[in-house]
Amino acid sequence: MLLPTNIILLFLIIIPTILVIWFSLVNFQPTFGMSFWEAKFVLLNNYLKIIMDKEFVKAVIRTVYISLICLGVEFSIGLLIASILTGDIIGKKILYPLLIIPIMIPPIVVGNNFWLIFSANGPINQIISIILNTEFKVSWFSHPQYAKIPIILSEIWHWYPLTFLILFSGLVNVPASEVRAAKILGATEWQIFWRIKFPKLKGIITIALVIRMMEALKVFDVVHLLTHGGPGTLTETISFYLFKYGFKYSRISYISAGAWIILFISLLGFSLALRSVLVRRNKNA
Amino acid sequence: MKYKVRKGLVHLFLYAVTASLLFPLFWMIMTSFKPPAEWVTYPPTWIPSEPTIKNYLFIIFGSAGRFTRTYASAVIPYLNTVFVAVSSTVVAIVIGVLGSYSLSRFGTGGPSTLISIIMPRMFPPMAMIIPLMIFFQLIHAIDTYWGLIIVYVGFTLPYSVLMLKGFMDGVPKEFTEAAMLDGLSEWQILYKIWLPIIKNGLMTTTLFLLILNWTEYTFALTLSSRGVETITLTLAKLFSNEAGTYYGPQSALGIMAAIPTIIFGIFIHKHLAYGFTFGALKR
Amino acid sequence: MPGLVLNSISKRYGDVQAVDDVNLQIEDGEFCVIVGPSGSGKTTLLNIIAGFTKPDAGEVTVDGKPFTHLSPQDRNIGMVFQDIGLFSHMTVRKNISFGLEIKKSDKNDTDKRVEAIADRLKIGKLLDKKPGLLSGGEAQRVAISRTLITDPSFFLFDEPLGNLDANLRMEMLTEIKRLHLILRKTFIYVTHDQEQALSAANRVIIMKDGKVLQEGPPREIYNNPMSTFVAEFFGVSPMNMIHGTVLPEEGGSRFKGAGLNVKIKGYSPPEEAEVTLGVRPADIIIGGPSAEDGTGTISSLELLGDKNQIYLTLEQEKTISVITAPKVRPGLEKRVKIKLKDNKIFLFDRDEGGRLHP
Repeated sequence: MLLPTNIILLFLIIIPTILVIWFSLVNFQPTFGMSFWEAKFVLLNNYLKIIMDKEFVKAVIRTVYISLICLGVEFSIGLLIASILTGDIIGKKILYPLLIIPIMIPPIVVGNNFWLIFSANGPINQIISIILNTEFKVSWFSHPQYAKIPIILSEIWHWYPLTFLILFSGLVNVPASEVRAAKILGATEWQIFWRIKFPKLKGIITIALVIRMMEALKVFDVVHLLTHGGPGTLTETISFYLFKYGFKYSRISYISAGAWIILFISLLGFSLALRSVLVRRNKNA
Repeated sequence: MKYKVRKGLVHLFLYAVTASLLFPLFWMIMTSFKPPAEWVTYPPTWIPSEPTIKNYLFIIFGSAGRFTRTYASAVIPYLNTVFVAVSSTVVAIVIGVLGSYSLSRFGTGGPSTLISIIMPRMFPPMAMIIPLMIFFQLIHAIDTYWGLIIVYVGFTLPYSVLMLKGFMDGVPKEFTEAAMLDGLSEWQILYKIWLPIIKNGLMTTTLFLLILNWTEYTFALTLSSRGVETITLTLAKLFSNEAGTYYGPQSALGIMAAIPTIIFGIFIHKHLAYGFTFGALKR
Repeated sequence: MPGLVLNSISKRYGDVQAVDDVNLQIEDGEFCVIVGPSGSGKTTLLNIIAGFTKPDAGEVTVDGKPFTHLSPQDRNIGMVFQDIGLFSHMTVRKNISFGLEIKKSDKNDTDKRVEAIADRLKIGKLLDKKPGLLSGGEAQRVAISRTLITDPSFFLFDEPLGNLDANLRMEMLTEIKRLHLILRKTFIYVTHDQEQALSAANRVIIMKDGKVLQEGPPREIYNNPMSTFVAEFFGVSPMNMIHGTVLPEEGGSRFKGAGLNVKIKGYSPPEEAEVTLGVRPADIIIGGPSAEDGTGTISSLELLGDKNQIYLTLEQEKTISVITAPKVRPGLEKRVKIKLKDNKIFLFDRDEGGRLHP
């Protein structure tokens, strides 16, 4: 009764999806001038080509690597502040909204901001110079090893409020009766945290990780802005790779196939993770 | 005594961490008040010695010939963004509520339905751009408000349904049963019983969607140009290579672009403490 | 030798003085019940003893050593809560062994003790279940088991039977009494239910508005209430309270009120005073040779098998209840004479409620 409204809308998304499937199975390049329904059928050719492309595979691995680092650090920061902030802290009411702000800033603004901060004459170089007591004037974005760092840091900065909020809500909602009981039995704060509070967060942590991972794999805005995939192709993420080949080189079929491969991998990973949460939720219901 | 020392250290640590986390924001605010001379200096200036609001004026009123290019005022794109972001969030929430209600209450479909709803979100938007563009050209939706809104709704609906369903799953059965005994219709049960119970989750989801829609870039870039310019486009133009060095106005616009979501977030931040549990914890 | 001593404990919350200068000495091994209406401060007092709340003034000492500054973790006490508070993500077994696990005790030793305690509280078959599947009574047993394992020096109970079914309550209370006899440790038990208090305690402490009104063995509370509040609070059937005046006369005084005219021996107020006369239903005799204290009309009669509950209306529409032997069965609407047992009459001050006589 209520779902049809849902379906009508998704329909509008389904049609382009079908188009993408079509594209991936044909050899369509707009530069050839022909309209897309006249393109030749090449079936899985595109899929094979893209899997064999070393740059694509590298981009996938690189993106996963970056995403995992971001996730790990965001999670740690989130957990750290969330656990401190649930305690008896002066200024809690002001700190809490302040700490959430980064997620509300548009990613390109974040990107641009980090561009300023990490520019050759920027504050980061200045601070490092002071700490190392030598002149440190690295050009971050064209550095083969360091170029990834501003990207990772800007992503972490933008997204850590998400894990913070999720973990904070979880911690705040731990039943006070259980914490009291644990105290009387002699548990220290540390023990209470790890034996009582943390285990209860497992469900929401999983959801948080899934959501965040989904977004992290699609990172584009900051890459485009800060390094343009460079130097060379060293900071190309999946989305950037697709963008490059899709927009710059107009190889639509090629990237359509790539997109489906990504979707397939993501689907596999996430449905496994979500299923375990869904099953557990239904058991407790 | 030991207790007090430990408390002091914890506070110190927390404030230090907060300061470093807020540092980028601080930098952006400072830059937005810097006059052009101080934009790129070495060593960089932390606090503008001659703070100015010219950057903000530039954003609001645009400029003609003062720099090498004429920049239109950012007010209209700002309003566009407000309209698009708010409407798509509202629509996505309403449809999301309906969809998640039927999933949660009646279990329509089963776990596979949920996954198929989430799927669009896993798809790299990059690959959808061209097909979407072609499709939109066919139905004359390019550069229109409703075109953009539909896309935004389509892509935030998965989160809307996922999150709201999580919250709705946490509604205790006793309330529903009591309402049914009182003879309330399905719609009334939704409106009078369930929505108030998941108020926190509703606020949180709304904020989340609002942020996503407000800061959306990829589709705004490709599916609209001059007709429906959103603030992210304006930002992009300002950040583009030709104008690459207008750091002051960039930061100013960045701040102004961030403010609405920040205000909304602070407004509802009390609800967030329960909202982000996705209903996984029962009240 | 008093194990636990509370010295001038006070605690205020905003406008409300939750605990008002309370002094108590609780002996080792006592089953001490703190009873009173909600808001009387008993839970606050218990929380102070447990360490969850710090008193504004006063101190707590245990065996002569200062206790007030200790955190709950360091107090080595066991506590059973009204909302039970079992760790919902752990099995019953893990719940019970928690106290020892956090001290990194030897695993075999812990397992054995868990089994032993589970046996004693008859929850052996529940050990591998999760708390969500337990009934109220089972959950409370697990909670009690959980506190036993660390062998604490004394036990606190905060209204533990409040969430249980009525028929279960008495059963659990008996269990707790039995536990007390076996362990011989101090039990401090807080409840608002006077029935629980009277049946379980060897010492009752009555609190109202943050103050201790009276304390002593249950018998004494029953036979010797120091105020109208205490008198009314206790006993299966409430004490009859009749307002009137007392006038001094030769050999004592006379009470007049609601049509009663009762000679009070051994009490001579300096002058006429407004009082409340209290007498228990079981201490009123209907008819008989010396029934000269007043007359009343039978308004209702309940035949309860082992006794009769009779309601009489006196003057000024005051109703009192009388409990008699089954054979006393006056007809309805009949006017009868009553006698109040001499040594069972209490007089209380009308305004303050404090006891005047005996």
